[in-house]
Amino acid sequence: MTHVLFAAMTLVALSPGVKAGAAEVRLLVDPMPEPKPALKFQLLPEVRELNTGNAAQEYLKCFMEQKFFFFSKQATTERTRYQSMTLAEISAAKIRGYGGNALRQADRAARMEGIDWQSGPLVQAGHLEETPAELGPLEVLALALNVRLRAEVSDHHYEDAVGTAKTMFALGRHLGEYPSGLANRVGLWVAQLALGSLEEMVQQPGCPNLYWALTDLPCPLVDLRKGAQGDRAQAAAHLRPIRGDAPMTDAEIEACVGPLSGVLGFAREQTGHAPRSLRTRLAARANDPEQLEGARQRLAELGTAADLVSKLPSSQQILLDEKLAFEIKRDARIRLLVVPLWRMDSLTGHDGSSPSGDGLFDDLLPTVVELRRAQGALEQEIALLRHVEALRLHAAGHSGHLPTALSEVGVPLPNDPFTGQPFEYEAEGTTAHLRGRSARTDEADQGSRAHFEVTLRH
Amino acid sequence: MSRILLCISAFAVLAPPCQAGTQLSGSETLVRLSVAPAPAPTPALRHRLLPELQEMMPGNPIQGYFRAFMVHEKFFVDDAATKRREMRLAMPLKALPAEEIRDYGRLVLAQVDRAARLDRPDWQILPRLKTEGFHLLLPDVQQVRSLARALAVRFRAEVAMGHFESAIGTAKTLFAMAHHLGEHPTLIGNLVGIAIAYQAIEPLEEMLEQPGCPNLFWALTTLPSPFKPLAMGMEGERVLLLAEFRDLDDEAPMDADRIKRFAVRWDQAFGNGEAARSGKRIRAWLDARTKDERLLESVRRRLVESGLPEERLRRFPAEQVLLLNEKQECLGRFDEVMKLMSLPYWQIDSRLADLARNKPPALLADDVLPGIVQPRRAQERLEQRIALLRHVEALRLHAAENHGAIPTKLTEIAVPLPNDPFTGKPFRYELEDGTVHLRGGHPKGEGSNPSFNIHFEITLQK
Repeated sequence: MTHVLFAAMTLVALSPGVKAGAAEVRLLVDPMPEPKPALKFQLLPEVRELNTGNAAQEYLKCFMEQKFFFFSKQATTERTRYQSMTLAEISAAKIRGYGGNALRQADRAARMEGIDWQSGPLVQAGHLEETPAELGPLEVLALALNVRLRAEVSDHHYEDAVGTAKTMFALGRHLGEYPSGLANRVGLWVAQLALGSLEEMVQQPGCPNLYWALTDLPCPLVDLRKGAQGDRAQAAAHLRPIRGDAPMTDAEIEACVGPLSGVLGFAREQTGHAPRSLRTRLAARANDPEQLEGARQRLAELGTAADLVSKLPSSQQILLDEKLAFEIKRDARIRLLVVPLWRMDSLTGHDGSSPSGDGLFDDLLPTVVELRRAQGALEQEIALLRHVEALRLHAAGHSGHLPTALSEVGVPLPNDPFTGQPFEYEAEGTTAHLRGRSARTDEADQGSRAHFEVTLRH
Repeated sequence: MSRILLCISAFAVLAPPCQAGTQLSGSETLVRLSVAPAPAPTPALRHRLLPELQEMMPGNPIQGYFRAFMVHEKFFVDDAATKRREMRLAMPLKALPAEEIRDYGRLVLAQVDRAARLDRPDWQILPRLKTEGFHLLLPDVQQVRSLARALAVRFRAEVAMGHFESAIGTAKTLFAMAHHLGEHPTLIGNLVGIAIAYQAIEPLEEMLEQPGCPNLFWALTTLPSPFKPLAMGMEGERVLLLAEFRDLDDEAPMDADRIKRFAVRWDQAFGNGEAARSGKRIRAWLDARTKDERLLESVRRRLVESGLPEERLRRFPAEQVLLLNEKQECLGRFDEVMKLMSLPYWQIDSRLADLARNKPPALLADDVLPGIVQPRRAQERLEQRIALLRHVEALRLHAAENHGAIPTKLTEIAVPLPNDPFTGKPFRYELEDGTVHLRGGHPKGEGSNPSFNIHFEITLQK
């Protein structure tokens, strides 16, 4: 399943319409006034379209419909080919109606009023798969929807395209309700996939103005709260056998270390880190008087009775100390969910974004910073597309001219979520440049900017 | 949901079973079992065949079943895996490589076990039933059946290894799945549920022959009776029928296009071949009657008697009048059959035959009604099989308490025994040369159909 997941992520890079993080996007657009009524187009299912029921079950039902459409080698190859085609090639391929009933089922699912992934009890018991089983197939579903969306765009069937975008954004949002950070990440990816195709759509002749449709989207579009809570609960379940109220026998310690080794090993493998043995590291610390003394002191400071600590086997002392240290680091990360992105770096500290530190259980720490950046990148891209639509709106009311400054635009504009400040704007003739801070943090990209180059067609 | 699918499902469920130990012998299905005496377990309900409340968790099992497909989609998509599965179901138990497949479908089937122990089945299909009528597609229902096939392989492996507790756990999962399909508001769903119950019964019969197998008399006796109520499916059929008739207007005249649309839709659901695509079957039926003024007048009179204003009917084209009459006939006959469905089978069998004999052909009703009666027979056949298994376990119980002795007649058995659901009377019991023969009854007119003539031949191991 993980392979499917990564394969799908790779496809994003291949897709011509999607540029994760919106580093450099060139758009050629027409002036376009707002539709009448203003909210004629919306990008999430409206209440009047909703049906009673649980969307999660209906998404899964898509795969009952046409297993071979989703999973056969031939269909997968074909989908990958469509994904990498230009819109003109897609139009020539005549694949409108792609996915048939299976994707219509996804439309139905996205228009259910409730969402319950039924994974709460699994998470609480620590039994949810590291990569939840639904995610791979749901990625395939999103890719298939995106093929249909691009086919609709290429044929200039904008009403249908907006309908498919609604399905994809709803799916993204529903994945934001999954109690797993990984699922939330997939939700962000699905939304970004749809947004990439909308960037293609706004460049097509006669494409309606989506300024109010984009403005009407909730912010953030994909929530991360449930995922962080789920990861927290899952990790707590893994560490629950480490007792802090009574000495553990050797057998109990082994019964606790065995499964934890497996969980940690899998987590390292998934993040591309070299394996390291929990047992060896635990033994080294338990046999090091200095580390042991440090652990005892910290346990006492955090409220464990000194006489109880002294009765605990040294391995248990280390495990308990590491568990408490993990909980402190974990919560320090999770609290970043509520911090504005531009303040996050100053609060992260040295371990805020580190995927794997020296703690025994650091591999279980949630990757909140990366997730927040991914979420910010999506919000930034939505905000930039709103700007593009605001420019088309302005040009439609001003004989095809661009504003010289953003303040001339008559509609409200969002700030860059990474800085809390307005985007930088320059206009040269019929071309405008919108720049924001890059979502990327690696050194090579320091100073690089999210950049939309918007040219008005005459 | 094409009605052809319903017929196929009914046929699949009613077809004679083909597992090891069962064979067709002339006009009967012979099940040969060699079993050992076994007393009731202590406590008596140590084993159950449906998940108990203490095992249940809140949630919707249907979503859980769908999720199982996500765990390892290749397990179901891959042709080779499917062939291997079918081969393992067909081979004799002794030839099964049980050790090799003890972890068969581990992650997928663990998910199914979990799902079967959730407490609120909801297929989320009712709104579509009301709008899509007989054209509703049910791919999910058919897929769930493939989960049952995989579970049956695991069940057989557990039986072959003598892991009876695990095997009973798998039986619970299968019976729970079957029960959840009883909550599906279509007869197709209910029929698939019956088919899944058979997936459990076949390995269960193999299990009873294994040395040391616990006695399941009370486990079988505490199963709900009927095990598979058809009430939801029957009600659902009515909803489907009303949805289909929604386009047949009795308020305003219908133009030729609307009448054609109705005809095409109906033929697509019930017709075969070219007629199914074009509505030609209905069209031909109408063409043969629209010029018959005497017929039309009598039809109009009948519709007026049923409450439709004559003045309004005069404005309707002849085709619409004829179809409205057929609609009324269909709904009327549907209710005539439906009202019998909650009665014991032996009370309805002759009444159903009378209904079929005394009514002239009707265009729409003749399409709908056979699909209603067949599932009821399938239900009783399952009840009969469970009842026969209770007899087998009662014999083992009796033998264990009587030094291996076999009763000469059923009345010697101390525990309560069920009657044959097809006849409402005790099963036919014969003891010949130390071998017990138990025979069940059959519906009217099925005397030579092996699907409905079951014969258990039971020998007791010393």
